[in-house]
Amino acid sequence: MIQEELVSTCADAVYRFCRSVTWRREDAEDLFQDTFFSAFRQLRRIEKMDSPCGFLLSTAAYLWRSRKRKYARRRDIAPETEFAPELRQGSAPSAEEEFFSQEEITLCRRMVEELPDNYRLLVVMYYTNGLRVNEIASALGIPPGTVKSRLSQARSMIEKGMVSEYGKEA
Amino acid sequence: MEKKPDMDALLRRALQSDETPGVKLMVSMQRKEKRTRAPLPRRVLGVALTALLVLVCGLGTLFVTGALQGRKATEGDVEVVVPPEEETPRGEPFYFDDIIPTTPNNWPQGFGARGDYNGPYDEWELPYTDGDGVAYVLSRTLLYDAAHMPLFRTDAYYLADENGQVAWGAYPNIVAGVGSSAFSLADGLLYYENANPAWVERYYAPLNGPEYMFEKRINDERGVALTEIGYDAQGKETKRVESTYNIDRLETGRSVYVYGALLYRFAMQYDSAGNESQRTYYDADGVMVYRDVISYKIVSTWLVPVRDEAVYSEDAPVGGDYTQGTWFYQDGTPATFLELPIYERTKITRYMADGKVYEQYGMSQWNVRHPWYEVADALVIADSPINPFAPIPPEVCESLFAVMRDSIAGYPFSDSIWFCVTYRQKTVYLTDAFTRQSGFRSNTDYDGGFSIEQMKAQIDMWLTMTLADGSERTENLDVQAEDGMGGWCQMWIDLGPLGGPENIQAASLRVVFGGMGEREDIVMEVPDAWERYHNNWYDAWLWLTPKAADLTEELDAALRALLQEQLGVDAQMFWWIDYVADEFVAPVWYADTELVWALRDANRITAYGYIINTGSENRCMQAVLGLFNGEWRIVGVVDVME
Repeated sequence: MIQEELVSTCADAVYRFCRSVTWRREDAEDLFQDTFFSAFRQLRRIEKMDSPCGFLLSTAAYLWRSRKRKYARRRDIAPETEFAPELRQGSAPSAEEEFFSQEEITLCRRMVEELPDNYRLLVVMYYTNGLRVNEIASALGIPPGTVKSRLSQARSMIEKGMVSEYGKEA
Repeated sequence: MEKKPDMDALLRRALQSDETPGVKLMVSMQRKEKRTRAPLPRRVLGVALTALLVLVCGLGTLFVTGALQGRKATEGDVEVVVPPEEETPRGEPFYFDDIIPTTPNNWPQGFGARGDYNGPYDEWELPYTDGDGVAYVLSRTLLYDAAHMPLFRTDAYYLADENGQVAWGAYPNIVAGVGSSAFSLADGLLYYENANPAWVERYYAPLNGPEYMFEKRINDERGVALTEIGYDAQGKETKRVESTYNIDRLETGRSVYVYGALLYRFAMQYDSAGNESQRTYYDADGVMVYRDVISYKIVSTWLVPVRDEAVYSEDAPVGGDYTQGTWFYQDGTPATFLELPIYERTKITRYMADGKVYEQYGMSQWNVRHPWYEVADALVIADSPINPFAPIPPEVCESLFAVMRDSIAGYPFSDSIWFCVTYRQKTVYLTDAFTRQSGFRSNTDYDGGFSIEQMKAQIDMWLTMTLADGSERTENLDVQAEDGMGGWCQMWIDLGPLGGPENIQAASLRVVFGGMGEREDIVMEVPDAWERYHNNWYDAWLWLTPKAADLTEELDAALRALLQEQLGVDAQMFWWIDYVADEFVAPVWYADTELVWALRDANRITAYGYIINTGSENRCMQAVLGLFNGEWRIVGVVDVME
């Protein structure tokens, strides 16, 4: 059954993406579900695809953009003070984590969250889903060069934001 | 104290997680039913409900049987609870809940839905994005009568801003009709809603959108008269479209008044057999301008529920194929279906008032970019300096072909760099934006609507190639774009002396546009197969030609023979395509649509374009042949006669 294969193959990647862009578990699950909903309506088409997961990510990105305001409204009603705390549960501190303070990580996430959509999607796809530049370009329908430049700009924006925050604290 | 973290490592640490979904993919029929309330309430329930039903059963089973391997029900498992129905109030954003996402730049996936109308209808949305990630959506609904003649069509183009809101939308275009779903705008936002035939709608274009408001009235329930009124930004009436139609006789009349510019009318009628239709266009004085005779062929049949309500099935496969499974109406009685033919437009013959005749072949009914088909709409925007949908003038066509022939002469196709620069007027019509996004280059650039002044632009290009030994080679090309090439400049660089394409490590193209009041440098690098840059003024492409598309003498001869056999013409090869699927957009113009879909679904397309020697100076033809399941077939033919 293609639905099953689709879920087994792509669910993790899609969920990670949904989780990262929506920041709230409920929204992520909504988005995750609707992404597969949409996919299941296009099974015949997906069957012929070489990269169904990429298509699903593209779908999720599109749906997320379409509903971002709705998600934002929910967050206004029930704000979440900490980014995805459960993402951190159960994970032993790594050397990397020890190197980067939790404060830095939290601030970095906040900066990512504040990125404009065009940049945020790329950052999430690149760092959370581990997609390559070409895969992101394909999923979002933009040239690879644009992906590269936006990733670079996004990193720069995050860095500037973090430096600015540190400056405030200092 | 300023800190300067290693952003790459930090981002990896901050954003990576091992969390797996704990979501049960559970839905309910009720949920889907509610989802249909808006924005597309008339969607095909048969397909959707069936898909959901199967989804419910299938995924429920999956969970029960533990088929979702590797995702145990952990504390994170959430049964998605459907929230109370949230009617979208007016003034609230419109969410694209039911839009079928497609890979950007994809053409619609054929007919997306049909069936719960009292008669067949087609409906699709085509989301796509431009190079900046801005999402556009084309939505089109076509209703047909029992003979599959279109009764009603709505088009809407709308743009989602970064917040997912509709930023603006182009007005729907109603061809004729007796009532269906419709789009509307309120508070600057676009809404889609079911409409009674006797409706009044008002469309308000927000800032950055079309420069007029739009009001539509249908005057009685029979829909015998329709008035569309356009306003400028100051509220002054600038356009009036009066349409009359008689559904019983399948006739439509339409008059367009553009104040101070143009009055335009056409009448449309279909023959009783439904295999030929005519449209006659008149000028303001009632004098015929031209008449189109449109021929159709039956390509397949549809099954359509007889009753005007949704159907469902518990044993049909997902996808709403009525030929499989047992189908029921909502009250549980077995569904019955009509078998209706699907027509495909095969030819348009245009008889001009001065005796000239134009023909064009192979158009399908869903080919929204058919230029002649859109002429009426184009003329509605008669203040455009050039009709953006006009056929390519033969002399321009021949000039272009001549340039192409000269340009490619002597260059092996697999050992070339080809790049293309196009430019257009800054005011991009929505339909133009639509085709532009689809990436189609040559013909789009002709009918894309650029002005004469802009055609005189000076374009300077420098192509720099980095060779394997690290050296660089730069080719400078100055193009005075008023030499009959229209808005399309292209050159070939022979890579043979440079060691062939495998010796090219990178290439970049620097383009300077001048003479259009703006000047801009474009720098493109080509580590990938190709790259494209565009803004509202110009597009540019650059790519290394793949080796796979070698045209051997034998193949060339075979393709010519095929053209001779099937079209009875002599042809000369002039260009080839070897795109990945999503970039193959020639089918928008060349219209053997089913073949094109099949080619595209194969995920890679090899096609060759041929100039056809018509033996006449007044006739310009071109054909595209595609490789399909190992067999070369004619994808489409464009034939323009003066």
